[in-house]
Amino acid sequence: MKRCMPLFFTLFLLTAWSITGAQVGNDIRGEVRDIDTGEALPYANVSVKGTSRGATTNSDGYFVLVNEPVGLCSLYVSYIGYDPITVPVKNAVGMNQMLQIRMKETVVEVEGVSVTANAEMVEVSRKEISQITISPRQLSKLPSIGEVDVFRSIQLLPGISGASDGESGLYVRGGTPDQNLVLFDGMTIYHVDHFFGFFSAFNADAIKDIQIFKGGFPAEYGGRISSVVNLTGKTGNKNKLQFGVGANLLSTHGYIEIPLWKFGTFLIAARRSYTDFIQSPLYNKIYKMMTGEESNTSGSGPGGQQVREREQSGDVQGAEFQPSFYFYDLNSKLTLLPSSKDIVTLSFYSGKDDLDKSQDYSQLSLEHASYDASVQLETIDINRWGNLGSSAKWARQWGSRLHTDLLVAYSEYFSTYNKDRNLTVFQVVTAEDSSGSNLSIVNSSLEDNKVKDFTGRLGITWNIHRAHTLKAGVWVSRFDSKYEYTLDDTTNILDRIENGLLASYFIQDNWKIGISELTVGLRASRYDQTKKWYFEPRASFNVSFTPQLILKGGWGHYSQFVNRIVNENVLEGSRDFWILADENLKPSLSEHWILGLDYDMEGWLFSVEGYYKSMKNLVEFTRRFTGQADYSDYFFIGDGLARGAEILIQKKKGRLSGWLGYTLQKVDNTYPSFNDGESFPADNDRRHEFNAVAKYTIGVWTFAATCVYATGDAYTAPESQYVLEMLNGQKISYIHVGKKNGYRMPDYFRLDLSVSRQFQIGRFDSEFGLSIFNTTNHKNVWYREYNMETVPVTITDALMLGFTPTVYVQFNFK
Amino acid sequence: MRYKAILFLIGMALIIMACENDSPLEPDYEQVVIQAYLYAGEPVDDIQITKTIPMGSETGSPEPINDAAVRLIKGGRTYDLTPAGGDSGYYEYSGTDLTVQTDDEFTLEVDYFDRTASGSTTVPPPPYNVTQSNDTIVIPINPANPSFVFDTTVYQISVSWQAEEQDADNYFFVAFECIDSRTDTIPKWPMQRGLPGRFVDMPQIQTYYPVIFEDFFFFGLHKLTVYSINQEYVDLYISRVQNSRELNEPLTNISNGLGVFSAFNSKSVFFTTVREDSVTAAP
Repeated sequence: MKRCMPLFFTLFLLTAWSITGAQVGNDIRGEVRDIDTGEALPYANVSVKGTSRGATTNSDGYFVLVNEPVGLCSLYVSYIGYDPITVPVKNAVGMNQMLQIRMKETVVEVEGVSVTANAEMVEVSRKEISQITISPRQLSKLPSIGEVDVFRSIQLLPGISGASDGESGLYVRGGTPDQNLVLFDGMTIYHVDHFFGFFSAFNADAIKDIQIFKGGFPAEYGGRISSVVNLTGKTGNKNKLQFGVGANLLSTHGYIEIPLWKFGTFLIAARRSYTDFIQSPLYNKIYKMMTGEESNTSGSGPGGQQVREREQSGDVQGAEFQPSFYFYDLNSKLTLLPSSKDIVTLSFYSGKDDLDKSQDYSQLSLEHASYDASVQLETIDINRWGNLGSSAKWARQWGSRLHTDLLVAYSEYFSTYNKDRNLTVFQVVTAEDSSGSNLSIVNSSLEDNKVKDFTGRLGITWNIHRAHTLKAGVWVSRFDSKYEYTLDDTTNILDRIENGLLASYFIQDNWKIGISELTVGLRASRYDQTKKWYFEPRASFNVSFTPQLILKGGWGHYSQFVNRIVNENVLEGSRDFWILADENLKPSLSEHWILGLDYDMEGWLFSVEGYYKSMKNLVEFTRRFTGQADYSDYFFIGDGLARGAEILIQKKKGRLSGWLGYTLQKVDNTYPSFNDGESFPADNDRRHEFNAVAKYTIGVWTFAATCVYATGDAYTAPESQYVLEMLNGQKISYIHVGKKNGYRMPDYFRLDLSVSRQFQIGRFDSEFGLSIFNTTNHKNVWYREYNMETVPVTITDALMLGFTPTVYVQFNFK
Repeated sequence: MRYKAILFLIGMALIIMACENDSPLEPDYEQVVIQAYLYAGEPVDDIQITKTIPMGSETGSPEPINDAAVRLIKGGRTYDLTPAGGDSGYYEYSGTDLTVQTDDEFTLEVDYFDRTASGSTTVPPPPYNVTQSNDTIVIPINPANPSFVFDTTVYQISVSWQAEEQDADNYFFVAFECIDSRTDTIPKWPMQRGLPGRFVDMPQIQTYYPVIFEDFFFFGLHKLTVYSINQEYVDLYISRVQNSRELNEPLTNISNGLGVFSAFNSKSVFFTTVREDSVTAAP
């Protein structure tokens, strides 16, 4: 703390100087809304033309330009997916009116249909380092695998990748998905995907805006060590009732937006798979990929061993047994406007996956000369996981310069896996004894993980001066975490019940100095499990050499107090669990260094960023024993180091828009318990990744393509076998493995294409689309399986999805 | 570190990384596998040295190493082991001056492949007061019909013992075998042990072990041995399930090699399984 005192002191002096040196002027304030729906546009850019001065709207669409010189000026307002506008303003002393700026979505009327075209899909922040804004509506045009998936689209950005086709989680600059702070209307979402990770859990119908900080994020965010994904839910149409429905080969979805006269809006959006009723070929294919079956094709593995490939095709299971699976999510948001200064929002989110593999084999008859017996095997095998959350926020504008946000949020992650096997043997009749009797053997296991997150947050934004914007706040979270693994109702294999209280305080100042901006902040957190303070200084800057050329940089320390432990058994649904840091599993820490250069010319953006991220106290879990071993011994602690560079070339507007991205990175982990303590490539170390995204709109038709080419994932390969004889004569075969993650899968390649057409059907804007995943049917290897029961050991390549076409349809009431 | 980071961000490292060539790894097939067990109060003759089996091998059997230099070190004194004969890879100590007793500390060294593989172990204390619930178990058999027993717990023998330190995590392993020279097989309904959830032949910390009906395969005299075992032996079981998605090197206490070097201490009890009809037929 002492080290930070000079920082505060300097900040105070600068602030005082700025105030005393302030010139006479007048504040210009206003709100930016959609002209058709009246919906607030969060994080829109507002700048004073001909100057470097500007502001960004807050999450409620409000902005203020402090102490602007009196006289005529023009405001240039831009927002992703909307036509930028110029607003003339006559600024005068004492003018206190709120500017009502209305923006129109970038649409073209073709054949009576509003076609969203020629708009940016992503927008790289001109001011903040590593920050990108995303328009879910624009991304919905990109190829998808059944569901419009914002996270899968985000994976196409440089610096962000997915581990496989089977994972929609975000691996940001060498980090893992649990290291991303995912906020939805202020509530922390712990489980961000559906279908074993195949789809992200966010319904594009319910999201207005996504802000991503790939690193170097400011002090107002904390609790994770890699990145921030801040999703702002749609508030809904303020002017008229609006609704829509849609369907694809996996699910149906719908939304309704209800204006509440002048008092606010209400939105509800829901999505549910119908996979428990109808198993479409697409569902079967994806399910098969996750559970797997084999066919025979030859290949080659390390050491020249023969490799077989496992492909995904056919039905889910035999006719006797059909697992039941579905997922759903539900979003609702009530926005109330009790006064012109106050906004109250209540947001609710619920997402759940349910996999039921229960079976009932009854009346397996065993006939014998002296008795008849039958066996009934009843297996209950249910896995449920998901996230439940709600938040209430009261935002108030106190005068023109002071804004407060008070938020109370609750988020609950749950995952239960219940497996009971009840074997009953009925002896029906014997020659001597006709009474019969029975034997019952019951085995059960229960894994139950819950994380409850109660959060209270107060944020204050004070636009002190034209040159200074001060943000401060307090963020208090209480975590209740439970992970319980019980066998046969009595044997507790692992029983972790923990509570943690995290109190964080932050302060940051954004200081505009001529052509540059400097943001300096500090986040201080007190965590009661370790009884320690964690100080996280942050700083970022930008220098606009010319209106087109901007140099940006960032640095910061970050802490994380709750970790997701990845349990590799994906065949049985989600078995991951979250646990709190404590004295033994210490909080994860990271330090980011980032430097970047943007060159923005008309319609084009060239951006390059380099980063260096060190991570400490990373946690890995290995479950290698199902007996009496103490599970808590199987947490391994290590460090990580990620460094890399990203290049983005974006064509922002026009009939053809999209981007080319390239990421060069190296991610190494070092665990004393692994690899003889030597560093090794992390599972998510992709040395090279190339992404191309293109969208072409012509009339009512939209064509889109995405392409990914990446270095194969690192994996650990076996090198030889050996056999040891146990005390009872049993021989156990072991595999001697090579260097951890010392080998690479073949390079990954995927080309997706899509075409969509918009129609006018009555009062509905309709859209029909066809999407093809992995058009070239490239055989991407997910992982390798080793069957040690065979001689020689059989190696099987588990492949990701091949050529997969899907269709979708959407209707929006005009 | 910060200085390095800044240097890195200047950008030169980008070019270096782009040109970096990940040299392919040379698989290390040449590894010594040690399977060395010492038993308290018994001669040293259960030490086998083999090579690893290459992944593509069709044989599945390890090649024994019969010409390694194998040494056992106890109390600072070195005892050279000699091959036991044949192409077995087993080594033994033929002298009488080497004893294996509780709390003895041993180091094993094996010279081969131009390196020395080594491991250390300590002889654990034996299980104390090993007792059994009964010494005879009568199996209800009708010669015409294979037995079909519902309540298998009736037909069992419980063996219990005590650990030296009650609070410590002492691990035990139970093994039993029929030692009758002439044995008859117990005819059984084909429901064998191994039904869901029952762990068999695993190290345990409990100080009792029920030998249940499904464990019996023969009539006659049985020997049941309770071993005190060390962590390195438990580690073999911990490592026995290797997940393809998460391959890790099996835990071992051998440096520069693979396998295990461990010591055991044990006590045995005996019991007999007899046919019900033979009991009732007796006068």
